[in-house]
Amino acid sequence: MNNPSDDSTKLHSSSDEAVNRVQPQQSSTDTPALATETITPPISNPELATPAAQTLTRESVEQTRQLRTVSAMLKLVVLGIVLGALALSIGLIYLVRDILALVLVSFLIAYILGPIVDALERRRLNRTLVVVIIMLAILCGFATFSTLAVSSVAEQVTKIHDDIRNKGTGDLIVSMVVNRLDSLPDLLLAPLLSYLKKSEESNETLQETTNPDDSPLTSKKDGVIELKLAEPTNAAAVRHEKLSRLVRLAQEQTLKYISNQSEQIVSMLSNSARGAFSAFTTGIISLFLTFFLLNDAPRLRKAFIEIVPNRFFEPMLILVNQLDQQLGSYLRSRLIQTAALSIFFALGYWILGLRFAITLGIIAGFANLIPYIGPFIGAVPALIVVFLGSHLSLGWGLLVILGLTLTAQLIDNAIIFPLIIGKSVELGPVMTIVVVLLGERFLGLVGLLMAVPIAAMLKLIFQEIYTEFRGYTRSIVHGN
Amino acid sequence: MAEKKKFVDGIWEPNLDRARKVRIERDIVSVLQKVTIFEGLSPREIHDIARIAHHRHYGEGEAIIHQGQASAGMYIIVEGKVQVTKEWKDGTIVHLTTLEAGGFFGDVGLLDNAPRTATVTAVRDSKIIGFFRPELLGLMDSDPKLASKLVFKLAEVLARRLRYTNNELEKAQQDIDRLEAAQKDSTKTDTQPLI
Repeated sequence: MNNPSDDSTKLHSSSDEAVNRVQPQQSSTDTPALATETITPPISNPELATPAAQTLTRESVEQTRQLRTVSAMLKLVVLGIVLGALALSIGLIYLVRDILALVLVSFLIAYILGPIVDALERRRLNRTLVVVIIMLAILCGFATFSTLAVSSVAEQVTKIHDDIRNKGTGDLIVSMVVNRLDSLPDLLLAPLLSYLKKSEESNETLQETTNPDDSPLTSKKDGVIELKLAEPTNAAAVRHEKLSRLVRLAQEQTLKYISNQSEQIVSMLSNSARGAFSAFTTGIISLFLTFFLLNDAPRLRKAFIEIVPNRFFEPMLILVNQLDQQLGSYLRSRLIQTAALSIFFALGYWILGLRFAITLGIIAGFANLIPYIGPFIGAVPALIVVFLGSHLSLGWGLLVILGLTLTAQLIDNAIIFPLIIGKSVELGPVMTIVVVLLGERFLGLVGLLMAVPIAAMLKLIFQEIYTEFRGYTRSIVHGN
Repeated sequence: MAEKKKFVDGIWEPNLDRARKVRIERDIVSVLQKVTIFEGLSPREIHDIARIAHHRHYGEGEAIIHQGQASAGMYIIVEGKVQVTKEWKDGTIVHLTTLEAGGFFGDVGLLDNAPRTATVTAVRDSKIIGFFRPELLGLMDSDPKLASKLVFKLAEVLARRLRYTNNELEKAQQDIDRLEAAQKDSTKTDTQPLI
């Protein structure tokens, strides 16, 4: 066995040993060996060179040209293969997008919970036991939340549905909405009134109305159906009448939509039990996937590295580590950002006196995960709550919620983002939007949230492959 | 360089039974215990390192690390033989040393990702253990005591090399001074007129 201290110093004591100098290989045939671009010394004046030197120079130039041609062709071939593989991959991803979304969600949950499991494992607890306990805790929490939330939501949806169908409550809601709309300026109402005009011109409302009493244009008196001839005496009354017709139109269309949807859902569930069963099995599969990913994470990672060929082993190791750091950094920073913004919005809505302030705050915080458009999407539920009934007027409500959203954005961009997220993901704004849209198209909501980190990781992978491949093609062409 | 005959992927036989696995682990532990950086560690600590290290198999003529490639960590030879070569700017390849079972190389790669300064190639089929920077950083979280022992040992090895290099540099400087003095004396003797 070598003495380690000698081993460590032998690298620096080559002068004390017999050194074997190995010259670059040269062919023994008459034709020169594969030439590099610098095999011949530069000749300042070709006319003064000997015929032999001139021949050698011409041959060297020819070989260099051939090398460049081969290199260019190789690059084209590789580019073609890469594009073909990319197109095939995209097609496959689209075909299996449902399964991919499921795997991605499970991976995400496992990745987020991984550090907790690692921390507990360091305290000499059995990893499998820790994972089982965490999964059971999640299952119990989810079951409790589902039971409470679903029953609460179902109750509220049923109430809303009944209210809409109930004429008395329906009239109250219509009246309230009309009063709200009446307070808006004409500029904002113009598109809505234009829509009303088009609908009335196509006579849809007259044909779909079954009860003349419900129609904004007809009424039944003494068994005779009469047109409600509104003869407003001033512009404000005309406007009010139009808004009433608009809201009634919206009410009828909403009821018709709900009725259609209910029939479709009942039909689907009665014809096949696959719907409910599918959701249940999806949940179970996701649970098991998450469990195995959490439990076997270190083994899986090591197994993945082990199958990499030796030539790419170290670059792959460095790449996997970089991806791990990047994804971990992005997820952690986004979680902190979401939590901070959720608290900010919840506090803001609570101060404004809005109902469901906490829920609205959480929705707004999570909506912020969607780049650029997320904050405005997150403000919509709060606007709906203001619109449907709040001590704030519509105009003030809109202004305040917009102000709150912009303030949150300012805090996010000025403080949270630079401090926490920083340059963990380097994508330009245009690329970010394109990537988010593609993510949504392929993987739905999961794709919307995960598109940016996935794109950043893909960018890193391609950069590393390109760097490695450049060295590889050079070695193929030049034979070293 | 010898013609490359065949290449073997870095997978040890996947269907090892438990007894063989235990035997292989024991061999690895015995090799690791003799490596300078792992001197003084308890068997449990050596086991922990063996568990997180990567096991690779290189065929004859296969390069383990390439000069100029970004470094990721160090390698310890469990079985086999490797040669260390360096390519100078003029294309000359210099053979620096040969290492056998128990030897290690690339330890400076644990500290930074600077390009490798030499190429290491397997002279015959070799089993190598790789211990890399991500694993060391992970160890700092999971077992800070063990990680700090490793880092301290690494610093010792590097300090010893630095001292050796300084001594060699001093000797070289003395040789140069001596040669310059001898040259001056011979010049003086030549210019003295013959009487």
